[in-house]
Amino acid sequence: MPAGGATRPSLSVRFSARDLVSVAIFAVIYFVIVFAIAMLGIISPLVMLLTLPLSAIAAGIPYMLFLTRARHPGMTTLFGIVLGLLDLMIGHPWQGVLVMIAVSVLGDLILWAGRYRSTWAAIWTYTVFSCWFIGPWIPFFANPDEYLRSDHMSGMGDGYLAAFEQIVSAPAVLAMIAATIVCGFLGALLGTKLLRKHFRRAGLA
Amino acid sequence: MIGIADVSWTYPHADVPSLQGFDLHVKTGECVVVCGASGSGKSTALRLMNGLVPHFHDEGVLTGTVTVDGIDTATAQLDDLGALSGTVLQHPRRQFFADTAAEEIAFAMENLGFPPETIRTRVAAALAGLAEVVPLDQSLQRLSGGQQQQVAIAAATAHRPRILLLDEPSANLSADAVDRLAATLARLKEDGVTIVVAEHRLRYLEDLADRIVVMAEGTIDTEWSAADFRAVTDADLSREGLRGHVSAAVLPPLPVAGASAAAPVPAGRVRSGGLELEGILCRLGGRTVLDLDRVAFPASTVTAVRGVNGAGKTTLARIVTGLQRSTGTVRLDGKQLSRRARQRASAIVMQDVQRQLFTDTIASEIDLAGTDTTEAIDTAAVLDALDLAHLTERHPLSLSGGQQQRLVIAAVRVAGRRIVVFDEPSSGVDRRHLQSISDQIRQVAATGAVVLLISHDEDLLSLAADQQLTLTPPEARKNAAGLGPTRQEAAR
Amino acid sequence: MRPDNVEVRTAEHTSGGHGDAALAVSTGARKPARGNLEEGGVAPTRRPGLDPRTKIVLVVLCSAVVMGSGGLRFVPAVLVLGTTLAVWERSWVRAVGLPAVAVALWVLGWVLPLWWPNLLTATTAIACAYLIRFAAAIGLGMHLIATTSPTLLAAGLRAWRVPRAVSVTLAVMLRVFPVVASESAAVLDAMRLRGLVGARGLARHPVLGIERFTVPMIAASLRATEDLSAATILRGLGSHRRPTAMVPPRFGVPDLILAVAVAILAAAAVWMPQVLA
Repeated sequence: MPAGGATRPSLSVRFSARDLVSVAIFAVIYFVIVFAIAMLGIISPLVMLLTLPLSAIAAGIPYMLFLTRARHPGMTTLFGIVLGLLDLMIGHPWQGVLVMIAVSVLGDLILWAGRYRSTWAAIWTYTVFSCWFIGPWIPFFANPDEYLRSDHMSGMGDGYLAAFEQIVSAPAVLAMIAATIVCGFLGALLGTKLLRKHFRRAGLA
Repeated sequence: MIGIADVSWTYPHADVPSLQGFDLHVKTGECVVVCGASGSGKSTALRLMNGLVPHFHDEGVLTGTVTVDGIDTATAQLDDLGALSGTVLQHPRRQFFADTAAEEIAFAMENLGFPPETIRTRVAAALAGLAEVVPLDQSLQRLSGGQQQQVAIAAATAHRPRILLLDEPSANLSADAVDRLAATLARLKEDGVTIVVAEHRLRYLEDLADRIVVMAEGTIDTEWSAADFRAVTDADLSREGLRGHVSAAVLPPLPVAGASAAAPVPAGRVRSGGLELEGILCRLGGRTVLDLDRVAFPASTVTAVRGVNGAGKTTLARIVTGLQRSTGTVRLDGKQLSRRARQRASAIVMQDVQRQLFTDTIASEIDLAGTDTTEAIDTAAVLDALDLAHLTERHPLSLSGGQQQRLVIAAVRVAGRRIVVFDEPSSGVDRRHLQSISDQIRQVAATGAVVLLISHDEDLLSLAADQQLTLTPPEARKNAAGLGPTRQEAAR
Repeated sequence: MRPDNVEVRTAEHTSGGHGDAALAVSTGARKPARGNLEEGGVAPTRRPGLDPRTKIVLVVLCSAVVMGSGGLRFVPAVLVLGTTLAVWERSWVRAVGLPAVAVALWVLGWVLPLWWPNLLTATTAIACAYLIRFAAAIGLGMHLIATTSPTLLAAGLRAWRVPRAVSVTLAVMLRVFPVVASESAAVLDAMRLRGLVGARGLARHPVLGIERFTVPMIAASLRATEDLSAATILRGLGSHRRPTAMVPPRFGVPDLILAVAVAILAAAAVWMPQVLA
């Protein structure tokens, strides 16, 4: 693409070599940020309650910067596919990978509706994309009995079991999805704000 | 072979064009050296020839025409241009894609679809040529700068491009590596490869170059034929911001005891005072990376830390600044410092300073640095001294590399740190600013700080350092010593 | 095969400097390998170790089994596999770390709740039942990532006719990973020296803490990968040509040994009494 050629969004799904490299770099940056913040949560389960939503918010920063370079269909879908495959290779459940690809395709459709130029479309794209954070929990929610009724829990008494069954009930799952969407939205807003505060002024966006 | 006619180019987000009315024609088989101070446009001229300009910079503005082997670069695909030319960038280790020399050399041929049989033959031939200087089974990232350069040139030429482009190939090389580079280039020239080198060190190319083009402000300023150039003195060169011969820095050694020292002395002969390290032993991944029995870095002095790749220079800097755990004790002015305390007393000016710019204006960056200092420091004077006072509202990431570096130095001075490490401060910085970088390093030392300077730049070392500490990989020393005296015996 | 793993590279992040006297030392220490090359005088025609495709299948298969219903039954087998592969590639950190983590999770999740049942240990027990599956799967994933070079991965994926966009992007990711990881480590170092790291600071201003890490980390990573993108694209990566491979990936004896080992471990997991339940 010669100088000036990129100002008009093209609507073809043809990836240039630069597109591929840029998806790869941003996917890794995204992954490392999520991973680094999740690692802070290893200290204790209570901190984890704080770091999980925090990583959804923080990851909005590289993602929004990535979207400024996603000027044609397929970029976010490819991002979701490769990030999902990376997650699969490091042991994430396959159900989560399918979720990640699905929300990425959805994000691509939202961007397309905004002709790959709209700030609000980008914000909603990240909000939808961040729903993948629910993915890793799917095996647990899909089959809670396996975790609750297994032998090592048998010594715990029925009181605890009842309490946990409450926790993994349908409303709780819905609440978790809602919380993720809110965090994703906040992350998108933070990303947009930092685009203005840092990356545009630094010539990176 | 290469035709550049009346080209102007402005990078995106730039106010002034990097090239203006630039004309250059290179004949087949010719070797042309493009030189000039950084910012004169010599690297941009190279990027014009391999098509990175304009293809890698959306929204930059290009006028004029560039043809390479008859192809107009503005409309060609980058991989087609890559098939015609081989490029070696300034830091080979950053451009490697593979882990081993064999894979790296095969990389371009694989992507360009050469038959596997051809690839294997050429890789074998290239490896045979490299075997003398490069440990071939070693990870590329662990090789020395000179070895990486040799691999990068082999990888850039294995697909037999007719043009080879090199950006400051001698920037980080030792003297014998520069000789090897010149020999390699001479061989390629004999094979008929057209060579264009962007460079600021010139003498090693004297017998190779057919023409030397001096650039200034985006256009050609002077042109020398090979014969003209031999008549130009080094003094004339330095007026153009160029260098002729580069002489090795000669510095008095700092007495040091331990297996990591290249020339250890008995522990008793190490002076005391300043920053003292005792019994430092650091192991990473099951391997001893640093082993120092005793060393003392005096305050208000710049100590150069030298040594090959893997000698433990970075590890020493990380231990001194409290970033790396190790056994042993560290004392400053006789007071033992914990790792935390060292972190609070230290600063590093990193090679890539973008890593340490945290805020959105220069003013707030300085405020952030000054938050936990006790003594009042005249920040305005510091900014003024570093030529940043007129930029206080700019975003740090929008500054040039040299300005970013000065900003980090300003932050260090405002924070009043007592231990300051400079990690390769002259890499990627204008040679004309070498003196000013050196002045800044000296000024930090003058505030009473212990200054460690990690650098391979002989020019900078001779300007800025007072003494040197040369490290060597401790395990290699042990192996080489074989059944020789143990450390205790040697220390006696 | 990579001689060093990612952890070591990160720790040594800025040591990739320059200098040439290393020559004498490293060539001396590596005599045998060089001798082989000189005798052979040819580029490698076979790569040691597993085919990248075998490793990918192994990771995906084990992840699916372990994460699926009844997956705990297979966790010990997958842990044994992960540890063995770590020993084989001589990654001693992982060879010791993986079983250690698994034992720790077992103690927290299975032993502790029996001695001392309360709400906290019950929660921990449930978390551990999940995390131990994750640990088993990640052990294999780390072997894949540590032992597969970017070009090898690309060649393997191409042999499967994976679309160019995905195979090239994954290969570049594998290459960029250590760069971004070391830039992140360097930014954290810089933050530590500026006193910007601390649980209290993060708890008080979480968003500011995030900003101060992510902005320099992104800026530094983009800059550190600039040369790489330029050099790889110029050398035709991701172009519309059909690439070839110097050594086309081929299944060999190690892959067969692994297949047999997996079959034995799977049978053992099914027929032997369950350790974790």
